[in-house]
Amino acid sequence: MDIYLPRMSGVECTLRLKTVLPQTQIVILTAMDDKELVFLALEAGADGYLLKRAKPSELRSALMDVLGGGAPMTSQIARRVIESFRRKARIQDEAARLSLREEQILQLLSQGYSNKQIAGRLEISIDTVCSHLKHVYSKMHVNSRTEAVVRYMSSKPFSQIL
Amino acid sequence: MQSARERSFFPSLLRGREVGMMLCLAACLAAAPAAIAQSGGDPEGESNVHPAGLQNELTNGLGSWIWDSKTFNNQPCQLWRAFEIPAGAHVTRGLLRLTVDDKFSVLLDGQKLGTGDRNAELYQFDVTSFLTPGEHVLAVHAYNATGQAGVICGLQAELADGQKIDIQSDRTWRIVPVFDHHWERVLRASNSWASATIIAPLNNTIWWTTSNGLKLVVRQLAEDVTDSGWSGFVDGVTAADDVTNGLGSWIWAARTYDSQPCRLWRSFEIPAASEVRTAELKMTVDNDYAIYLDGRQLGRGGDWRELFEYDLTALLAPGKHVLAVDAFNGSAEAGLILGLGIDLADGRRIDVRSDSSWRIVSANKRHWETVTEASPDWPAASVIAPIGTAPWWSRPVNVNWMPSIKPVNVSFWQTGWFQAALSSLLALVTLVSIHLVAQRAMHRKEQWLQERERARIARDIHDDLGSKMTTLVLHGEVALSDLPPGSETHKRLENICDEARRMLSTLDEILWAVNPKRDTFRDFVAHICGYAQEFLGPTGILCLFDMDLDVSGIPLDLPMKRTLVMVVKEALNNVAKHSGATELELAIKNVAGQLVILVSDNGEGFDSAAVKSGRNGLANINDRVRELGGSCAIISRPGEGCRIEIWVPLERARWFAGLSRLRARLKHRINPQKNALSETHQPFSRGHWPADRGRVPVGPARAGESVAGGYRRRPAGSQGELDQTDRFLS
Repeated sequence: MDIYLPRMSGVECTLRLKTVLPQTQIVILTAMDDKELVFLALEAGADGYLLKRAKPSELRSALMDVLGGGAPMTSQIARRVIESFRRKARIQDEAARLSLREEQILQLLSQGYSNKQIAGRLEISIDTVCSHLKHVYSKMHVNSRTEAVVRYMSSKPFSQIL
Repeated sequence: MQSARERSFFPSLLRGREVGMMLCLAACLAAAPAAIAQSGGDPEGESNVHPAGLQNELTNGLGSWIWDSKTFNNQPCQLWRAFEIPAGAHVTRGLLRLTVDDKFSVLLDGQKLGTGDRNAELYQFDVTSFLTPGEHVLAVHAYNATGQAGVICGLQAELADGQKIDIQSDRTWRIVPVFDHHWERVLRASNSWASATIIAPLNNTIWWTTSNGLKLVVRQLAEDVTDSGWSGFVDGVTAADDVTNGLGSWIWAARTYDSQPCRLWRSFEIPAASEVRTAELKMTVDNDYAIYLDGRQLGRGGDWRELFEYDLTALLAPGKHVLAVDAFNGSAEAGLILGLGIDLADGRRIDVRSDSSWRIVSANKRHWETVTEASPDWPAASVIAPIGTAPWWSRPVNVNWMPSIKPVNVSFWQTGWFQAALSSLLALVTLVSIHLVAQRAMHRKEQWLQERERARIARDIHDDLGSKMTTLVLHGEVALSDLPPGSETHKRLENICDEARRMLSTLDEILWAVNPKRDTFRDFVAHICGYAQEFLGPTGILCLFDMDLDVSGIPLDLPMKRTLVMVVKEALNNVAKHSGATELELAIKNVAGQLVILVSDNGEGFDSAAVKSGRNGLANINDRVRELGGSCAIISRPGEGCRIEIWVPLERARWFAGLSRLRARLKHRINPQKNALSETHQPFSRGHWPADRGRVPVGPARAGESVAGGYRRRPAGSQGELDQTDRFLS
């Protein structure tokens, strides 16, 4: 999925597609490494993102990651996720909040630790870390769905996001 | 017995007044002591009922000489006494006798009975017709010119059943203060009215005794006491008892027509060094008016059948004054009648009446009511008719007492100069505010235009350059896949592709920098972290972050954003190139309105005091931070790593920061779960590093440790790709 599309943004398109085809995995492929847009896309339901300038080998491994269910999360995205959940903490119900462990993992991620280092620090397996992250993604999607529909459907011109 | 005998002796010899006199002389010997005993023995002075008889005695029924407690020259004195004729009683005869030293005017139930001005004569009034059952009021306006003063009086009423009622001058009378008006009909005494003082008994050496030549003057009731007689007499006596006293004639402009405005003007003067004791203005106009004294409106009225009375005592000071009446005639006859009586403390009286001394002011003259000198082209007013002429009244149907008018106290904020100063100050403030607002608006507009331009550049780079570069990379990759690996062309193509990718990443950076939508603290942090990870990834240095999340919304303007990115890049570059560190921590915080960036590593470190020549870009960092008005400290000791602290004031952010802190505090209160988490999130303080990060301990900046600076030469190694964006943007 490209972010810059003719009639609607890739973010909005992702959101709509995910509503209709929830099982389909969507990877954002973008020319520009704009962290904010990437976050918005992930929030809208994207399962991963790649830069167009990535080498073919990187492209392949990233796609395999997504297929394997282990969507990687960078520290920037983790920080953004924490922030976004904190902002929503007031209005969301308990089920949509991050668990203590999830937030812990996100915190460590945002501090720059890799999944492997996090697993070591928390004395859990790396698979557990990955599954926690998966939960975070799904919570983010659940969280964002209603809100984001409102946000993107409310005629906000795409140029305002760029 | 003796008197009876005398009466029988002289009836034919003596007649008329002489008879009375003789009788008096004889009878007094017996009657007077009884009368004195009566007044002294009954201080409460209730109406006494005596057996009939002795009514012909001249001084019969008189009380004592009474007056105010003090006596002085030119003294007015108002005396009051109420009494009651019992219900069902019928008065067959009522006689009032009195005299005053020096003058008086007497009223019963507010109706004037008459006047007198000779204390050697006793004035008698037949008041039979007044004395109906019920409450009555006897009122005496008295006046003392010089010397001793006193009032002596007695009212005797004979009832049909043979009883007699006596009202005598005694302590039960009340002295009404001279400034009180309209008290002559009041049935209940006010508490402020003092009791009368007895000056002397009936027979005394000051005035007359019953034995010397006292004359009885029988006065008819008020009809024959004309106004002119009264006003000639009253000079100095306060409170005219007739409502029409002091009024002039009906005056108007020479011509009268319907719907006619008419302005009447007159000035008068109160002599210097005199004190106004009372000043009463009575007036009415056919059909309505507004009256001004010295330009101040006193009131309005609109019924010619009634009189309007204003108390001007407080308004009139010595000097020249102007009365102005803005009158209006609706239809038919028109006229103004007015009288202003001013009593001065020295006994003089000034009368201003409506007469031909008034002037008619032309209708187009502005501020005429304040003009103190009459213009010669103002014609004199015409006397239309004297008072009492039809169709007007001889007595008004009503007198309206207007509330007394107090002088206007002009406070300093009401004065003209103060108001002028205040308004000019206000005008100045307004102008300055408008100027500032305009400037601000222009600044905003400028900023808006700038942002729009930046957005356009960002779009152009992205749409055009970006997509073309991507296509280039794709083509390159496709071409690469066709070539056998290892060949020279393959290597070159690979280089081309790598170079194109690096260019794309540089474009990314430019795009981020110029995009006005990415001007926040959050975007800055995300960008810097992304860069740091990308940059340090190949070096094997673990990069840890400590970022302030609560201030994400703070805007950072373009120059600041750009400079800070440069500075951090420089610092990271230093660490990667020289430190030999395995771990690096990057912290970005907002501390009390200052943006603080810390880059610290666990590398070799160096003696910062010993570094004299620019072996790295530290000087460069220092210069750039100074440009932003911030400060920079580079602290290092050999073997203890290096730490770069950058403090930059966030002028515009201060307010936001306060708000965010407040919000954060609220959030923590609402969400205690987050509180527990925040314990792992160590609070930042200058010179403090959380111990669990395996950090090389670095102490806070001390005086001995130098802040790198003074380098001018930019080291070649630290430039490279860092300055590509810089050049583009500058």
